[in-house]
Amino acid sequence: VSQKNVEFGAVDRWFPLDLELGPDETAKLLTEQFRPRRRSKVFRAFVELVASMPAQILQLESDGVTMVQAWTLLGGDGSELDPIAVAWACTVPHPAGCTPGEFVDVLLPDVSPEGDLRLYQPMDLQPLDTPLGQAHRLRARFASDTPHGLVVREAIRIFWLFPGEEVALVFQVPPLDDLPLAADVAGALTELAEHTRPV
Amino acid sequence: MTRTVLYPGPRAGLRWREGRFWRIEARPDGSVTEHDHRGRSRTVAKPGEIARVVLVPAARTGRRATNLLPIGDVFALFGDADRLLRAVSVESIGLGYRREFAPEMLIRDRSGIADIALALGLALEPATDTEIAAVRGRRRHITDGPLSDRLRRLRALHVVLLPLLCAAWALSLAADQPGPTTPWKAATLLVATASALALSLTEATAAITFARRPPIPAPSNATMVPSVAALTDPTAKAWAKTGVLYISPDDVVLDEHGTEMWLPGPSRGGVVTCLITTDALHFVDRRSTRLLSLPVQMWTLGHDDHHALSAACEKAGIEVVTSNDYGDLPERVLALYIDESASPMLEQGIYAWTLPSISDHGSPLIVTPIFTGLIGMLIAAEGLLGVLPADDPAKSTALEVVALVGGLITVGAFTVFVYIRQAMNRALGRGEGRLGEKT
Repeated sequence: VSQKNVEFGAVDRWFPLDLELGPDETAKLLTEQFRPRRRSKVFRAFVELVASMPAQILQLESDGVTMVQAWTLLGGDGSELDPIAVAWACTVPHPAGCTPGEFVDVLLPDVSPEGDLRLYQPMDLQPLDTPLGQAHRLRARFASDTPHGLVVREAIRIFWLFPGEEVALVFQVPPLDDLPLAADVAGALTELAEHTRPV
Repeated sequence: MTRTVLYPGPRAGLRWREGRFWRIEARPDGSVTEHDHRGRSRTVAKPGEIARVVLVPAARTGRRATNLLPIGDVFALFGDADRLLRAVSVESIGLGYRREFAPEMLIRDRSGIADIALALGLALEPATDTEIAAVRGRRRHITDGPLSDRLRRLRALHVVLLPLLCAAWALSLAADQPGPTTPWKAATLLVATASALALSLTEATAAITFARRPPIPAPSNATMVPSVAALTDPTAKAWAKTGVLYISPDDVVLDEHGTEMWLPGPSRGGVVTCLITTDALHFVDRRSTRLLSLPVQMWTLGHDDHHALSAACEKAGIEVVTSNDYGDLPERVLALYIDESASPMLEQGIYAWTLPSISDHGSPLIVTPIFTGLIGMLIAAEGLLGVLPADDPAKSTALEVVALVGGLITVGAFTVFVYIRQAMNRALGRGEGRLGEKT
């Protein structure tokens, strides 16, 4: 699995971010693509924020995890630069013959019933039919204690395990503490997965 | 700790009681209590009664369920079997941020509704279709605050009643001869007149209550921090010099410019940090959401000289952090919204942001009630002319009474009006200034 043999389709509210472009090039692309309908100060701040995302996402590469593609989710109908979430596609290595349930442990290694990070509600793992084959969507809410009280975040992943391979394709967003937003993002990410096909 | 109490934030004009008293509180036993603008409490949900805490997105709230106004996202508490227990507009508990200036996500963060769901052992969920139908199904039950709702209904009644009364009066004048002396007509006249007078009186009473707004009942454990604008800026406006902060574990209160803003303190899961930067003072909650931002020169003698403020915060359990650089963006990894409201607040204080304007239904505007009342009186007089026979000796007495009451209403209403203007000017610290004048 790599960028070469997977095609990510275009979905209205997801604006693709090229991981190979630098912040200045991304900013230029954004100002060409969007008109500032909000106050220009806010628009410039949004451009700067989105342009800084590819570099931040590339920093998350580790232990064989390779970034393939990134997107930002836009609010409203996606016609304005109003970023409400960010997502990326990456490849994640796993043991041969790994089941979807076992792969969840690979994705969320820190979650345990007694640990600092524990499940707040039962995990939701659903199969998903896509042009690229069967995928699974994981939604897991986990809780952690902070000096100022409980924090609950939702992790969202969509992943494809390919028979005979030891690398999975994963769509991912950062953990979200705004759960209504997480529901919106999960729906949008599912749509993105349904537009992902083999080349 | 997790946020346990929802606050409305600043309320202007006639609605000051709401800002001071209206609260929705999740108790440790899992019950939910609402304190209204008079300080009375009622149980919204008994322990264990709440099954779901949901958010209805703005696009799906529907106007029928509100006071016919679009009000953005709605926070709703449900019992078993989709039984709606309470529905509140999120903007009304968003601590003053308005949808014109701030994204719904930010208002949601400020309100603390996600935290209160956690305090109840649940999580804030997007509403299902059945729940949205339950919220949309009933008329006018999504609250903006008990007093805001009441004032809005009152204003709407005036708007409906005024043309009706005018029409009734014009029709009776246009008639060639006095109308028939039927009990039906007499009853109609009585009802129209009485309701018009009752509305006038209610509104005038509300306005007087506002003008007589008592000082903030500072809790015994609160520390008062007066504004130092008079020392740091000789040209500061009068209202900036008279501002006061009350800081306690329960509440952080800003009293400035005739407006009160109450924020939850650390014991209620609200403000946990006071961040002093080179230009601004931010009261920040546990999720790094800035609940209140103020110009630093009004409250500290300098960036490194903030003893009074720091001592008050530390006594209340609020951590004080000084920073030379906080930047424009909220401090969150990959935070994806921009805090648009902070800059106008910093430039102009709380003033421009919450000043009661004519369009604010909390402003003490009593011109409409005066007219409603007067026209009510005219109808009564006109009706008496028609109802009573020409030679009835009671007629002149009745007309004299109507004229006297009408005159008293006029004089009384204008007296109240002048009194309100003066009280407003006093509250806004303008001395000789006039209401409506730009400072």
